Amino acid sequence: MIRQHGNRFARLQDYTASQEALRISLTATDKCISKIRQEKNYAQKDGEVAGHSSQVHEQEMLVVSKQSFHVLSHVCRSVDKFEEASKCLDRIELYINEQRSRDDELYSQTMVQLSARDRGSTAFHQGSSTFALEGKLGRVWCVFATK
Amino acid sequence: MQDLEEIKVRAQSARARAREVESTERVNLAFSRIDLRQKAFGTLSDDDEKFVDFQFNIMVECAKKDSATSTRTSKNFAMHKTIFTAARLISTRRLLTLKEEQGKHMNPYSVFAIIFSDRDVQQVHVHLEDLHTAIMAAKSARDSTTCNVAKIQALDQRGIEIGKHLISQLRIISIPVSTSSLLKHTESTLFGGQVKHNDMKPLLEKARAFCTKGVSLYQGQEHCADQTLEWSDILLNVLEISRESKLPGGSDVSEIQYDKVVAGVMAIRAFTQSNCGSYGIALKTARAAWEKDGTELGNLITLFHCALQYESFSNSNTDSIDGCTEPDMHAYPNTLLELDGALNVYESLSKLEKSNDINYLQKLLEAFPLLCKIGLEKKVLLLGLQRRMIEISIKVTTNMVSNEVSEVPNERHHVSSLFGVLRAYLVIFEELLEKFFFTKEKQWQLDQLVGLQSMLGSTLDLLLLVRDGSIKEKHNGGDILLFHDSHSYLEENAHPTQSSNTAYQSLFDLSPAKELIGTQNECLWIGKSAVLSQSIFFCTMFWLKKL
Repeated sequence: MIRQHGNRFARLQDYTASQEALRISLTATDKCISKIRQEKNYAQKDGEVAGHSSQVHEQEMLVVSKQSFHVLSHVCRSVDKFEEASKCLDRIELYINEQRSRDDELYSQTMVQLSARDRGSTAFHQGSSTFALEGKLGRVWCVFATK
Repeated sequence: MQDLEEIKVRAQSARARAREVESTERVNLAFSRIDLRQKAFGTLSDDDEKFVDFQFNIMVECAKKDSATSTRTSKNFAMHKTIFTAARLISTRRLLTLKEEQGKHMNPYSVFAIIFSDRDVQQVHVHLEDLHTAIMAAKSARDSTTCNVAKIQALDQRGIEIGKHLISQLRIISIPVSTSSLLKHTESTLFGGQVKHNDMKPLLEKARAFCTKGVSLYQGQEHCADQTLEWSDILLNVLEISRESKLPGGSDVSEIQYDKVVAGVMAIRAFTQSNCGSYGIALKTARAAWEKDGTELGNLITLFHCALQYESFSNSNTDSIDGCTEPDMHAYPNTLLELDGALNVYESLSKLEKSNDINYLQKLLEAFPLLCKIGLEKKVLLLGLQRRMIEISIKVTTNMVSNEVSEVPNERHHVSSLFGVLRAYLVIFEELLEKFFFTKEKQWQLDQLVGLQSMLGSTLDLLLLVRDGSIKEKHNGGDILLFHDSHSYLEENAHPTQSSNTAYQSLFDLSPAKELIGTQNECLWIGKSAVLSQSIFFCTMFWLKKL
């Protein structure tokens, strides 16, 4: 909502108000992302699996963040703050790279597990067909399926 | 087992989707970086240029990967649009600001075009965008005060070269599928030769629009005749390809419309050729344009201009009937003959199109002020033009009066009234009568006299028609409309308040008559002038015979 206001202010060329709104939006999304990641870290330390909803939530926050940085970069460029604009773009690139490594990791994890299962006992294959929707594989499947 | 396979497939497709999203994000990011770098620094250093190239390469790589995997054309279109915008930004800046020694940087369009095969429509789209950028850069250079002549010429030349290259490419890809299958062996890609009609249509429309921009950029500008000729040639080629590649039954544009467009471009070409001094070729081109579209008045004016230029600057009128040494006093018989032929064509074609409509003559009248302007310095020619204009004006006005038109059409407001033209004609007639007419041969003199008499007679008939029409109205309870004699008219004008009680009203007070024919004052002037001109003419003829 605040990001949208920032966007509107930018369109109206009220760059000061736009910067304010976008900074608030980015602070909020940053807090959310760090909280989600913190929870994820705690869960990993405890040997648990992070919930699917937190993954989706993190991704949504990242998308909002990227959009805000794009608009903020445009606003900074309009008021001749080129350094800041460049930093905004760097942050976007960082998010894209992080996303890429997460996707790759998740994909390779899935493939490794799938091939392990494939090579595994036939008993496993003959087991419950709903197994894949539970546990780690279920999580992976859900993450991919909801992207 | 089935579940595992399903998960695998889903994971793969999800990953592919994620890659597509990432590509789009990276393209947008690279675009923002290029834009930022270009705006942040007025003049870019070599390192900055390398950075820009690097970012553009990222965009192209993303597009390459995306076009290989994605089937969603709308997404590809959006990505290509971003890349085109980036290429335009880079290319325009480089073309306008970089000097010769700095011109070693890559052309972004060339980099982008490489990812498509030779017979791919997308590659032609890239070249078209390059062409557009070249045209706009040439325009900006011309508008700018800082660009030197050499730079402007180089940009002009670049645009023309891209245009020519584009024509050859369009020719290759527009070959129908059946023919192109013969060429299939020479292609690197299996389906490279098959270009769908649906893909070709927007491509050719785009090509047409950009080449039209090229023509309109140079047309009418000083010292740009060569460029105009080149661009009109390119545009004619594009139009020809458009016509050739049209599939039977699926055309939106009819042959007649194509002819009209082609005729328009040919007329521009003829006008430019004429201004370049190629009068003979210009006249031929103008004739060809008129043959293509004999209903467009612009083509008629161009034909007249070219014919006049040809006759003025060639030796064709040295043996003319007058033997006159003053160029302004030549009769320009060939030009008038050309005009008469064109007028006949126009009349016949317009009659074919709209059999009972007199509007085509009304439109024709609108062309005469321009024709008169072209022949303004040549008084005898001007006399001929005015004579034709008066004849048409009488025809149109008679038709309107006969049909009891109550309002003057809007088009007519741009054209002088009948008396206005007649008055101008008589002024020139009188001027030429004394010093020029009797240097010409008798047949020509007689023609002029007959013409004058015929015009005056037709005008009088028209006035009678108006009056008779008014008498009819009188019987139906209208006012009495009469011609005033000059004495009463002047008296009435001297005391306008007294005349308000009179039962008589001049026919020139009627709104349509006043606008179409003229005022009573003009009528009186013309009457006197015509009598005087004819008297002088007859007297001089008589004395010449005696002598």
